[in-house]
Amino acid sequence: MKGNGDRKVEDMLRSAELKPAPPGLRERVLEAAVKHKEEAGWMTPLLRWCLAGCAVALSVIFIADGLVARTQRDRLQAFFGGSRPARNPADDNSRVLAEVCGESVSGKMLAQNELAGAQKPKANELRRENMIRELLKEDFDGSESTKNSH
Amino acid sequence: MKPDELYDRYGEKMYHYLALRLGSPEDAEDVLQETFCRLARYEVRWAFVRHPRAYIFKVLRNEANRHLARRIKQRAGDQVDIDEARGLASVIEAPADADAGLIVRALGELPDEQREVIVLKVLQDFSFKEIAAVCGLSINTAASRYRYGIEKLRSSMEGKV
Repeated sequence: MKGNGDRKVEDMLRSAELKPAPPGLRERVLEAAVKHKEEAGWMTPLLRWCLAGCAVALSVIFIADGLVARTQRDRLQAFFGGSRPARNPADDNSRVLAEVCGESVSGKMLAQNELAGAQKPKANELRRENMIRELLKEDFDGSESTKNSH
Repeated sequence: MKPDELYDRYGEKMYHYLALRLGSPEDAEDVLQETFCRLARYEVRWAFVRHPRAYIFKVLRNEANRHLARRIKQRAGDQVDIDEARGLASVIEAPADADAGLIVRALGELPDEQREVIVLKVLQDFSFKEIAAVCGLSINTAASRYRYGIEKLRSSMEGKV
């Protein structure tokens, strides 16, 4: 009974005749929509703001990066007395020397050190030979003195 | 979907929904125009829309709510008077049958949320799933609102006939 009553209500509502939309509404609505679309373009206001923000952030990063790089280059040049730092083992020695001695190390000394570093293998060999000679000599002298004491 | 195709498919139904919801044919025309402008702006999203009818009515409903909020703000109150009888008269032809006339009048006296569900279900042929998507409800809530509304209409008819 209740279900029948509900269905009757639904049928009555469905049978209600709907009036057509006012004349000219279609044209007005479509004209406004097309005009609005042309004006709005493809970007929403939010997207436009996001793009502008990204562009500003990128330019700030590029400018800051350039400034920092320039400052760093100036510092390095001042540190190495105007000569361009090169990457080799002697250069590492120079750096260590500069760190240990601080400001008292001049560019000239560093250059000398670099030169010494380049001649290092030869010098090392000579130094080793001398050291062996000195040790042998000490040993020899030591054995001589012990023999004499006996 | 192009705007003219969109209007030919859903335009009249959208207008009827708005006139019943807002109680004013003039406001319904304005809001329909604003909705089409918005839909034209959302053209990029069409590729991702699976249920165009539910999507369009959700946009339409949001636009109607925005319009009502503006009206409330203008009046500086927390309620807005909706002339349901005028809205119904602008959409539904006066029924020749007395019972049908009673039902239509009773429809205007229902609470907004029940009337909205009944209009979408009976006059627009929406499923409960679509109604739930449009109104932001669960399917059960949409169905129970519909049942309560129909029950009220039936009892009003039984009481007066």
